[in-house]
Amino acid sequence: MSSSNYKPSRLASLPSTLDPAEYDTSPETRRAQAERLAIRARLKREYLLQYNDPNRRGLIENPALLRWTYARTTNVYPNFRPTPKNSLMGALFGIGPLIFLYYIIKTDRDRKEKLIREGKLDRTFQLSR
Amino acid sequence: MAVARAGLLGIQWPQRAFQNVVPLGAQTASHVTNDMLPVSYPRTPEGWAAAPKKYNMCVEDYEPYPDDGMQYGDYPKLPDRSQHERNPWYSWDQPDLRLNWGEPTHWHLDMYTRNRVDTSPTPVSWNVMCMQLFGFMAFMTFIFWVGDMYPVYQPPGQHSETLSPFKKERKARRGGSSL
Repeated sequence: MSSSNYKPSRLASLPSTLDPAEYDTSPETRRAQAERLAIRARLKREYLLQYNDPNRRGLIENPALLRWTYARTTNVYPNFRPTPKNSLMGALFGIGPLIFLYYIIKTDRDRKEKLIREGKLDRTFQLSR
Repeated sequence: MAVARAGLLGIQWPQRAFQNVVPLGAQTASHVTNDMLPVSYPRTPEGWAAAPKKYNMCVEDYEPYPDDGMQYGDYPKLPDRSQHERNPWYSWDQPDLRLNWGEPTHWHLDMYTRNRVDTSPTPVSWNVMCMQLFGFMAFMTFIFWVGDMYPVYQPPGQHSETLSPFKKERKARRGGSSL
């Protein structure tokens, strides 16, 4: 077949065999691939040196993981800026559920109170009076 | 405290036990310095040059999240691929996470682990799968609804097994009618 009608989506990515970038053999792509491989090899070497060091006693800390943790916890508020999207999401997910639940519980309890006042609710086994 | 690396002449085994001990306060708990940590969105050319080096990335690959106040800072935006897609046969440093030491980790790594979201390619496109599934469900729902509106039953009658012996004999004498 000349072309496949497979369309990638958020939860189903394009396989590398259908990706035209995979078959790109220009010198620039090759150079970029070589550079990526060099970085990966350097990191692998650093890791293996620490891993196989006979004098090492404890864990090997991973700076990438520490950066990831830092970025997701401590670095969040300093980079916060109130924008319309931010404020809307904050109101919708932060305050919305509280108000929604308040109204549900309030109406339910008011309805029950009304029925009790009118004597229509069956309170045969009610322990609290 | 002076036992540390200096190496005293004397008994061997206490010395070996203290081989890795250094005087208190001479080492930090972590080898990560302040310049290795993420900062805010890069605004200067120096920031743009330093960020990919900090994250162990190529300059071409580095692309921070857009600066729209959503608190990403200068963290790189990596392709949204789950760990399921990574080569299972390569010798990763962390085989369960399919991750290498020092490799730039995706912001949503905890979502893309192999226990959770999977973005592997499917045999057919997502929209085709949706059409097939929902089409079939809709069709079957419609058929069952039509069947509910126009039910079809067999005509009621007395089967000979349920009759008493007297009625069976009477039915046989009459010629075996089914009614």
